[in-house]
Amino acid sequence: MKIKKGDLIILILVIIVAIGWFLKDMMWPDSINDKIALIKVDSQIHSTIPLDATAERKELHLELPDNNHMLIISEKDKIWVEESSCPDKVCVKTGKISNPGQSIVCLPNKTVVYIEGSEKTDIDDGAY
Amino acid sequence: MYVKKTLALIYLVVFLLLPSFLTGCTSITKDQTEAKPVSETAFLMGTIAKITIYDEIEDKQIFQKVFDRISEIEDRMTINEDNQKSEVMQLNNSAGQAYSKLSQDTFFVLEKGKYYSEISKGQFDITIGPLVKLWNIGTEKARVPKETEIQNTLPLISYENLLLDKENLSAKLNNSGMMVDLGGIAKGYAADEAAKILIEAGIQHAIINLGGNILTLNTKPDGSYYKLGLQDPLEPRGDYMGIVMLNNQALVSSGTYERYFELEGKRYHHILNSKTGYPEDNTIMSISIITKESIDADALSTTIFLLGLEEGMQMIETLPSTEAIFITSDKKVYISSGINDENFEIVKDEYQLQKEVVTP
Repeated sequence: MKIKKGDLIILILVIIVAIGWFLKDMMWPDSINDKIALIKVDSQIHSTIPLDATAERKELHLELPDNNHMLIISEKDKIWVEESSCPDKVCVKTGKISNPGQSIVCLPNKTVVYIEGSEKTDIDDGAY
Repeated sequence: MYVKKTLALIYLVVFLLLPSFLTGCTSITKDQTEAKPVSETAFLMGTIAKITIYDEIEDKQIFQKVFDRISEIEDRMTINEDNQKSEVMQLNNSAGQAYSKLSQDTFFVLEKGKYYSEISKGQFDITIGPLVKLWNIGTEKARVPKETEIQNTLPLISYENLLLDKENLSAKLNNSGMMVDLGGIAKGYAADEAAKILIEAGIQHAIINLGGNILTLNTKPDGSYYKLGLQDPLEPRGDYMGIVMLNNQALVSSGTYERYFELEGKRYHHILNSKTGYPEDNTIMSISIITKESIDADALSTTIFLLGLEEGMQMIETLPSTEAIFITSDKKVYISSGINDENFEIVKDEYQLQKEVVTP
């Protein structure tokens, strides 16, 4: 008995597929884009907005306690605070964010915009 | 026949190995590190407090207990005017008059504050309150004070006139108008106290993040160090320029990017020089301090920032278990002698590690 041609082809195919898959994972980890902006008000999740290159412009009006309000806009893979009733406007000055792990914080309004995504982050937390 | 058996064996081995091939070696490490840490956040001490626990949580109330303790410290030490009951408010209101009785918490923080004021010869001054109130940076009332106002305020800043009576746990500000401001140190203390609560509850692996001040408990459960992003001072929060590895250590950053206001194109940040009365104007954009206890890192971040690159680096090298990372406005990175490839990595090419501190 010899190794049949068919056996050899299957064997080689299996190895190629396995190596190919492995390489694909190495080169394009989590190639599916699933970035999500999380909007939290006073530590509670208020809403989530998917962020990707095809997402349409969305305007989110937040009505907050004590007649405060914020206008958060997302367009494609970016999100930012356009307007806020807070005194310091740190949130508006932060500008546009688009990468997982980035956040916009408005302390007076107790509001946080945070981007989550399956893109691997190298860090456990951030110092600032 | 032997060949057939061998073939069957090869198939078997290939198919058994296939899954590990597909997921790569990551699957092994994943199971250990992804013990799924649990975090909770709260708005405390004028910032976001985030506690991340890597262990199994037996006491469901643990997060609340930690937040309650931080809140207790805040109530004792705030100089926010809506809390007239705070011990620091009472101390300030009795300036030039009488001693105020204090809790252990407040006394300890005042003592530490005075210590750092002394070793920095007043560059860091725990009695900077009147100047902070004058500028009000970070509030809606922020403004550039008149020169005369600054000159009238400077004499009120003198840590030597903060009198501490350890036996009676009380303190007094010697001159009326003086004010203590624990803004540069109280968060550090709160993080240390939060760690105590976690340890008492049997937690061994956790990150305490108090408005960007980091304190880590031990390592992660698999023994690897915690990896902390170091804020890029020129980018939005969360965008990091380097990674710092910590094991049972505190990391506190201070910089011109944190709180500031702009007027006529000039930026006024919140780190005030107690000698000139103006925001410190040196080459440092951000400073990060690594210590054992968070209170030291917190106080030192301001102290070293005010001392500047050369003098600051010199002081760091004299302190035990204390390291620092300086970033200057030309994107150069200076590190103390205990920082190396093992515990710090720059991830943005535009930031350049310098071999030594060179006099400009």
